[in-house]
Amino acid sequence: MVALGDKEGQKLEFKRADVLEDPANVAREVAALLNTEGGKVWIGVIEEAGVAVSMQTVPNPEAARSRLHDALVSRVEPSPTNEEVRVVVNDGLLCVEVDRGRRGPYAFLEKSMRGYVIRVGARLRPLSLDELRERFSKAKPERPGQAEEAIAGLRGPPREKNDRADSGLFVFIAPSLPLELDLRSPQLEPLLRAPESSGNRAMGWNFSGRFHTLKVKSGVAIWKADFPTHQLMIDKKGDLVFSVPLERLQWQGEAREVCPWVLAELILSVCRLYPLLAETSASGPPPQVLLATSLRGIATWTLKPYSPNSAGYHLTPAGEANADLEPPPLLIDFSELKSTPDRCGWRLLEQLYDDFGFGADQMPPEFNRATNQFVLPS
Amino acid sequence: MVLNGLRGSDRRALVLVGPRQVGKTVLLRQCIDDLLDAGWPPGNITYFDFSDDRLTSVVTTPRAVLEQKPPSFVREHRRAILLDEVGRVEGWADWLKQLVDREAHRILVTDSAAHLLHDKGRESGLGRWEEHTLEGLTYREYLAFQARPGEPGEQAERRLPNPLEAFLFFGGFPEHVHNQSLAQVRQRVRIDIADRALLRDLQQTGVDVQRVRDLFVYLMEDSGSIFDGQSRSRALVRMGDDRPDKRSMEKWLGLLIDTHLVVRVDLFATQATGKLGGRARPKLYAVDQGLITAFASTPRPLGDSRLRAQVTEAAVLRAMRSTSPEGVTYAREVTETDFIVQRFDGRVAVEVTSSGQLRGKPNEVRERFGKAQATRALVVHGGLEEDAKGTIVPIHRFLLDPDSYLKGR
Repeated sequence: MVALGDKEGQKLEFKRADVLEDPANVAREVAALLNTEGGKVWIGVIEEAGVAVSMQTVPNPEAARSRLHDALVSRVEPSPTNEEVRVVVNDGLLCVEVDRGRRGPYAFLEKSMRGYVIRVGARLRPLSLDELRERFSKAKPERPGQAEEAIAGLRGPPREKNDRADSGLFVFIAPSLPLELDLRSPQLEPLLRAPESSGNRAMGWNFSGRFHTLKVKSGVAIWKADFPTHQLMIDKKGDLVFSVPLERLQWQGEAREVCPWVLAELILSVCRLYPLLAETSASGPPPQVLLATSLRGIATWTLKPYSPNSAGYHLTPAGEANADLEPPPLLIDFSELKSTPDRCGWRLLEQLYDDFGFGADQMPPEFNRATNQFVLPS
Repeated sequence: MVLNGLRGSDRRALVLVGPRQVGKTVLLRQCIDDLLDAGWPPGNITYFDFSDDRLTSVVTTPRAVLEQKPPSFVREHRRAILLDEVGRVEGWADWLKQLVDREAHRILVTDSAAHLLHDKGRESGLGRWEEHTLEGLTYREYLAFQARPGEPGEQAERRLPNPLEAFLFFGGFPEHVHNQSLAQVRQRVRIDIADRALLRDLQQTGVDVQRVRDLFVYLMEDSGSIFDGQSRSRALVRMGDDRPDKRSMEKWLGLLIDTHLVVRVDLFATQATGKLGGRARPKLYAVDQGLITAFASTPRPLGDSRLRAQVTEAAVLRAMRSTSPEGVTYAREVTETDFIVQRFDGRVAVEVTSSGQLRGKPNEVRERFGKAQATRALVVHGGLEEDAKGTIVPIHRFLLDPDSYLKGR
């Protein structure tokens, strides 16, 4: 919270409440903070010589917050993500919290002009041409096509009909910016071997495996056993492919029947793992990630709605897949994946349930929509 | 074995005993299926459950059960009598002796060992019946429970999520094989063992069941330790009660061993130190590793290295007992290895470690096993390393096939 007497500086800026009438002013400050070390812009603070002297309550702060957020998204380029810029209401004031940007240089847009500024102390300074050239030369290109192309690359060409070798459940995760993962880090194997460290059950259905070993070759870490079973591939840019033979999806039910718990927990397990991996990246986590699943060779397999713990589950008519399921990928903010991995995985699962002919209300009740957590009895 | 016994021509009855929840009733019903499959007339198969209050209010004795003959009864064919929880009937042993002497029926009765203990007639049945003890599932059986039809255990092990960890945690209680809730299983085992098997079933033996229960919990917490009656008796002092004397302690311990909840492992004695072996204090183990996790004070017992080591030792001991029931001794004081297994084909020194880091253990064991005049040494460990000679064995492989590793590959 800001207090009277606080002074503007490298990471702190005060604005009167009437700045909201022209959000371009705020966009300029935000672009500058993104280009330097990040910081906060307080709106509703009157300053004299850079010192906060009084506060003004922002009228209807929730609506103002929403309008300002929209304005920043459209007036800063590249558009800031929720992880980079957050607008929060605090005691009747608005606070724009800005993290140092990783996709810079950032520009503020004003009419037809792009402005590139950095923050020096409490002031803004335009970037010189040389500085701009240098920053652009270091900038990492966005991944081509953001979603579909990246996931399509991981998914590979369409499966040949009746190709059993390529059947199974697949979960794909790709960052919107290339990561710099150290696949030989001593932390990686313990993370894969102990699923509890990523919030998964020790004895649950997940990426872990007693017989699995980690091998790193040509910039790709492969976590696999020496017999056909689930495996995880992670490349140093952060692309992840988790594949599981269809046979593993059956548990206790009839032959060729997918167990809802198994399907859900396998998908969610890698959604819980990925944020921990991405945060070890030397370049920091990506602003967004692309998530996708495929169920290949699933034709004639069945899935029952609800869960094995639901009353009458065994008598419930099952849905049947009649072809490979390849729902479109989802683009999700990294902060959302980190804070609610189960919710993100659940969105993938909703797509598969939809393909089996079931609505969200027919999915396993073990997912709690209030807490956004999937919890099996433990 | 039980099925063959029932089908065979031996006149002797079969008495199936074992702790609660190990599947005695299920086995008895499987026997009925087996008899029907073998063409036994349905009217000649009599099943009665003495724990069913609805039935025992009408029929109160085994004799009364036998008087019931359905219209389809075939007089020329032998009769199979299968009585569940027979220990609840006063004087069952006398009745069974008379029946075996008089009639040529095939008889199978079951009960928890705790129930049968108070009936002195049990001992006098020698020669008239064969007693079989049913214990919890072995790892192979545990996997078979979850395997698809025709799927070998090794394949099921690869398909299921971390089955070894689950087996170590849940133990070999068939009822809980498919349960996903760790907390629920622990609670059920505690209730069934501590409250039913001990507090209720042992009531009939006339002992102070609360103190037996306390002793049992201590033994579970200390599974694999050398039993020190003196310090244990101090720990068992309850408010207002005297400290239990040596005889009481021995009696309570005997009950826990007879009820198949605790296993006694004596000190290995070579010929030269035979006297020492006889006098030395035994080590006591949980009969099933699931009892250790159920009574552990931490919610994640396998995350605690001490408890994990206890659980691993209990599981390995259970596997060794299934192949060499009488021949397992402990040898820490003599040879500094965990177990000596005496088999008809030799003597095996077995070291157990829950860790996967062996750090020279195989060499240590090889050096020591000479002291025990063992023919082989075996290191069962928590990792994946295995040598061609079969000296270093990952625990999951040992539990799947203990006999072949003890025999030597």
